[in-house]
Amino acid sequence: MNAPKFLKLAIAGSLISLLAACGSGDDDVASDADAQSSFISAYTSGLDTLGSYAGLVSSKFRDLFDAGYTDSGMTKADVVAALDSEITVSQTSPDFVFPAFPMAKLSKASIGNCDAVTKICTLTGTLSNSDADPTGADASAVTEVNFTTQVRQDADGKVRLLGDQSKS
Amino acid sequence: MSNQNTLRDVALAAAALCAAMSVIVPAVAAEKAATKPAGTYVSGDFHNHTTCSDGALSLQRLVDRSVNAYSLDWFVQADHGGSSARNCTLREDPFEPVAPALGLTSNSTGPYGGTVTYPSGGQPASTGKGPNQSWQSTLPNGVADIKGDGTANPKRMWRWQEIKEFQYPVLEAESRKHNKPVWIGLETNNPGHEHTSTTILTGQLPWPKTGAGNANLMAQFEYCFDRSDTDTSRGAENQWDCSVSGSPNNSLIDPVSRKIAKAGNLGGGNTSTDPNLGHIKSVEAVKWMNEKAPNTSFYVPAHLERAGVYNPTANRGFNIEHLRNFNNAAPRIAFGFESMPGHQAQEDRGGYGTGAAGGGTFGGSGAYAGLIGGVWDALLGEGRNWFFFASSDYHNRGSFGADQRETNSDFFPGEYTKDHVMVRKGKGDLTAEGIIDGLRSGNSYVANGDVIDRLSFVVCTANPGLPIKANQALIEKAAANAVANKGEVRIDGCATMGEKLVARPGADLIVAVAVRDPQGKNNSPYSFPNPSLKQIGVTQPLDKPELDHVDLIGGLVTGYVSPADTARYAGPIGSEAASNKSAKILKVFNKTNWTAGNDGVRTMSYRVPAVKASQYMRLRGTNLPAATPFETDAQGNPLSDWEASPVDQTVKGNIACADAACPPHMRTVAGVKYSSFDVAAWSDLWFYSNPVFVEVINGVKVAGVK
Repeated sequence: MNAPKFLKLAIAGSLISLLAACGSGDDDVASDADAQSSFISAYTSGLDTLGSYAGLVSSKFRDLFDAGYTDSGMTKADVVAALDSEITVSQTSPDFVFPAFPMAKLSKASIGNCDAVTKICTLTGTLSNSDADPTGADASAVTEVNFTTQVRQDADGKVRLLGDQSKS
Repeated sequence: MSNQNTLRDVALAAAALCAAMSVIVPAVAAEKAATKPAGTYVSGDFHNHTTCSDGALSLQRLVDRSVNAYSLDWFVQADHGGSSARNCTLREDPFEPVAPALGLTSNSTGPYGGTVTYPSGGQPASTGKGPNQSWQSTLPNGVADIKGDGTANPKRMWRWQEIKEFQYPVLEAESRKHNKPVWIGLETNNPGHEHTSTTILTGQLPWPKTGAGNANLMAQFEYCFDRSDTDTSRGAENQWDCSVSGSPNNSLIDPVSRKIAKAGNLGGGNTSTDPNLGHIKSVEAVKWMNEKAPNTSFYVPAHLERAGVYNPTANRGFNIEHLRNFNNAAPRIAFGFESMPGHQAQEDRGGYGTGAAGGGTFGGSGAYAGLIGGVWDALLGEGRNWFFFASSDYHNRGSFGADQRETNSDFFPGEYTKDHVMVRKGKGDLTAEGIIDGLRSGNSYVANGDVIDRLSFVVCTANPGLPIKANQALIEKAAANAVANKGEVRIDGCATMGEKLVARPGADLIVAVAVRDPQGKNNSPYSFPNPSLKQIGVTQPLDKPELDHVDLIGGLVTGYVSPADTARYAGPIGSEAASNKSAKILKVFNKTNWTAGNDGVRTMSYRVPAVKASQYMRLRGTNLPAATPFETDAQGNPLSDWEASPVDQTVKGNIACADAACPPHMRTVAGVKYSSFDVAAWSDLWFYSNPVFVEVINGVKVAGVK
């Protein structure tokens, strides 16, 4: 086997590996599709239950935030502290009412636009809220917005929220 | 010790007693969204005048203007207390409520149909005709039909009799004719102060109610507590008694008239010999309402800066301690003020002369609410449920006829000023009770000149599981939906105007606002460019104002002030008691940071990171940018309206009106017209929201707000 052929095979092998890593069917360079699917499922259910004590204490939900998560100045430590604070207040304050913040349901979520090197992808989806007055005169009016943020596949293979990485 | 000091001590003791007797609404979180009834914002007005007191139009005609020509959803007719000679059941003859000036040019386009003629000059009530005929000359038995004290010829009828026997039936019929809630109130001449807008709905049966109602309690209130009602007859056959159960001030009641009165002071006001007596009587009025009709009354001091600061020996203005006394006595009755007065087209805007507390109006609002950090912010800084209202206070059009669109005095109800109030009874279920509940809730806002016609203002705790921008987008969308539906955001973890959000310390808050700047024309008759904006190179028709910016204003809540803490409880404008130094503009929203929709809806949001202290937030907005000469300062605060139009009409103004269409009635000096009267009012438009409170758990309680 001469060198140029070896080089061709190496390049071909790398491309195959890369394609395998990206999955198939679109232009995105996908990470592990199962990991993405698992993340979407866990984040969706985590948001669904965040208005309960069980949801707030869930270690699984907290693990959905990357150690490098930063979004509008909020770090993972800030998110964890917020969740802990909700728990503390719910146990000590008679004024506390579950849920203390607007709940959000994630739907139509998908992950794409992945960077093969950084393994940072874009999570897109739809967030909606069960506003008690969602319709009024216009039955089509619901509290629903498009949602985009960054996720990253970490070394353990899990996909986690990375946030927009903005400091404020 | 002087007699004055003795009675001042009595007043302070009464105030302290009020505080001790107060029933502070328990501190509870905003109602759960699912249990809060759906509702909608409806517009109305509760303070205007007819021929029953000193107004130019009949009851029927003013109601028609309000709920027909200007499409208000509800209307409370509130004439002055006292007495009058005119038979105000009579309407203009012929009754022609719609004139060419209102855009209806032929008899076939009017709502009344038939072959009517619209004279070009309209149909002002002529002397000796229509509603200007006297009671004495028109009642079947003449003077014998007029009850109570009085010897004038023609004899004047006490307002209590007018309300009970004549005015109420007319309004009940008008309400049902127009299929809208229309009922009786009273602009009472306060003992000890100037005026207060009031109502007692109990007994009245406005649309959609049926059957024969009555305004007996409203009439009795007028007899008992109006300073200008000096009748001593106890309401003739009614034999009313004005005592308040268990009140120590019942000892002040005159044995003949059975109301707080003294010889030579039958109105029971403040005098040099009876200092503070009037204020004591006014607090008794609030307590009486609370006893007789706790759920169907309100007591809202009107144009309360106009008569100056409080004077214990005269009947002048209100200081902050008087508002606190009223609110302490009955927080469900005395829950706000009209710091934005009517008479917006007068030469001294609002009728505020140089003696007004704070010295005039600021963007049409009195100093108590128009100046950040003043009286209103001091009350909100206590966590009081003290809310902002406005009224048209229509009396007449100044030098113009009732059917002319120009005015150099007053606007019609619904023409310029509107109170938009949440009614939670649900669509198709608009009732007077629901409107009063809505006013009391503080879920309301005021807009002049339709600078906005819809508003959703909500503060939410951020969902910690979502990125901040996703939180903001979600709540902004909810606010936009609410505006589209003329409703409100009903989401757990959120609070809107008049409510409080209970939040954990350290939580991020999301403030979301959606407003609608209505497209098309407002009710201004002028389409020439706004002279105030013209100064800065903006050409914008006066009848098509555009919202320039919205200010989010906030201040800390530090808790109720005890009446015993006199330095912090009582004092005139500018004093420590009447100030909240923490109040400031938190955020300015404008076209650079709001999202504009084609339908005029603007959505915007603001993040409060890691909230630490209990606080409140409120909104104001205007068509004028910051630093508009003679109108706004560099921060966007409204300047004194005398900057644009000096109170002395003989001197030149500061904002020229050079367009050929500038009307001839404007201030004109040396051949130059200056922005003034209605043109000045249409040029300078503001809206004010009521506050959203935030109570931080383990922080200061926001006690006065549900």
